[in-house]
Amino acid sequence: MISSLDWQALWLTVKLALLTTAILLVIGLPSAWWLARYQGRFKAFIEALIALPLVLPPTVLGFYLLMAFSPNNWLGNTWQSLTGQSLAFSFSGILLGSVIYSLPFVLQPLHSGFSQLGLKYSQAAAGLGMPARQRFFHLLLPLMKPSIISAATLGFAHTLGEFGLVLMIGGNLPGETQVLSIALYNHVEALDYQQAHSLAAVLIVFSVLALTVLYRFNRSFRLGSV
Amino acid sequence: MFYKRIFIFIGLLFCLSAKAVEPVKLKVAVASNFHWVLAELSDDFQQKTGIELSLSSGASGILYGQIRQGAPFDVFLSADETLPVLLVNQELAVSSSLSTYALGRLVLWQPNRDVSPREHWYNSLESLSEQDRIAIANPRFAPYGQAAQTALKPLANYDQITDKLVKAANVNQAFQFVDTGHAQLGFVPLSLLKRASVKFSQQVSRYQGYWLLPQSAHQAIEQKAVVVKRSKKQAAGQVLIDYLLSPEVQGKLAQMGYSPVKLAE
Repeated sequence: MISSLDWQALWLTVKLALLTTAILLVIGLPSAWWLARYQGRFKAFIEALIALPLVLPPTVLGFYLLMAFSPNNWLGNTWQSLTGQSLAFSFSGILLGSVIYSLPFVLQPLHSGFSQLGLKYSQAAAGLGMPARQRFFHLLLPLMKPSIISAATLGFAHTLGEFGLVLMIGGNLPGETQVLSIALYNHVEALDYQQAHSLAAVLIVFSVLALTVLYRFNRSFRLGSV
Repeated sequence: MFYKRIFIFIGLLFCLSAKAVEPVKLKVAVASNFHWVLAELSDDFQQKTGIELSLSSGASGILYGQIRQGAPFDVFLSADETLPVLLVNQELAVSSSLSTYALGRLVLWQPNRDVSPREHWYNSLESLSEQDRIAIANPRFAPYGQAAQTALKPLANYDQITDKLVKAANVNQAFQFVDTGHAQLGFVPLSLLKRASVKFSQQVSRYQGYWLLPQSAHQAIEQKAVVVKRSKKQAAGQVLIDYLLSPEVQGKLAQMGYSPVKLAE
């Protein structure tokens, strides 16, 4: 039915989705906070840049990452000397790809969360003498919790289903870059439809469970916070 | 008045589209490695037969699945022999139409390398560094990948080489991995390198550093074609297959990196 290779692929996918979400939250929170308050002339342009991975097909994104990080040019060279591996065919490579690919899904909810929150709480706290760092950690973050949870949920779910990008830069290495969607694709290509069906069923059941837990967590928070 | 104009306009559109339907249009499902070849031949084919080709390319396995599910293709040009035979066995394809239209040739490619004899290339596989990677189409389903694996198996250090293999989804991707420098060597179809030297003629030397594996080194890569049974244009489909098997076209295929098919079967 489901081979050990497939379980390995499932674990790898979950690991990739969790790490991607974690990295995006760390990057996303401060930059969304900054962007929500920024009113300069480049605001629309920056927002467009952030939304760009929504427009580009993942395979196209993957292809240009492959070009950009080619060991024949400086970017690929720098990457290789920093990480000791090529961007393609490595877990860190698909992790970087996923961070770019899922960026809008995490940043958009955070950005709109901060925008809706407005400046009033922050200004009130500042008026009472609360330093900026404390305002961010003790006031804004707790208020932002629902947005953070939906950002994390979207980023996680989106990365779980990632396919095109990993297909382009992954190289299909079991335990390193062979995520669930790739394993599934391989089964279909090899006409092992039965294995493909089992694996798809696992993916769907797991996703529904994970998302249910997350949404439930989100709702109970909202009720509890009133 | 306004509506009248719109009706006239729509009527005109119908007239135009009715005119465009006139020539017989054949829907061809073609394996990605042969797509550019067929695209180059399609004008000549239309001139000779009056049949227009509409090409859909993709991985053979995917196209096979689509035909099984009733996709409206008339002819299937696969990259292998298994899938067309499967379609015939399932009575989804016309068995008399089943024929090998091209023999694929496998090369080991290293950009910018001088063409060298056999020993030299196998040596280069033995002296790879820790970091080096060899790109190959996934042998689990890609015929060119299976052929490459067969060619590698007799090597003494086969196990070490397997650790360096990067399995691409198809031959085009194996090519990209080498072309972008992520892999140092790659097993790709000769036809792809021929295509690349035409497309990127400024850096033609890049695509001439290959070793053509002798056909005895691996099983034959027979690309088979078949007419889909559900098609209402079976006769036109057979015309396309006969055209591909004609000596003239087989001669052209030889220039595009395929071995001509021996017709006396």
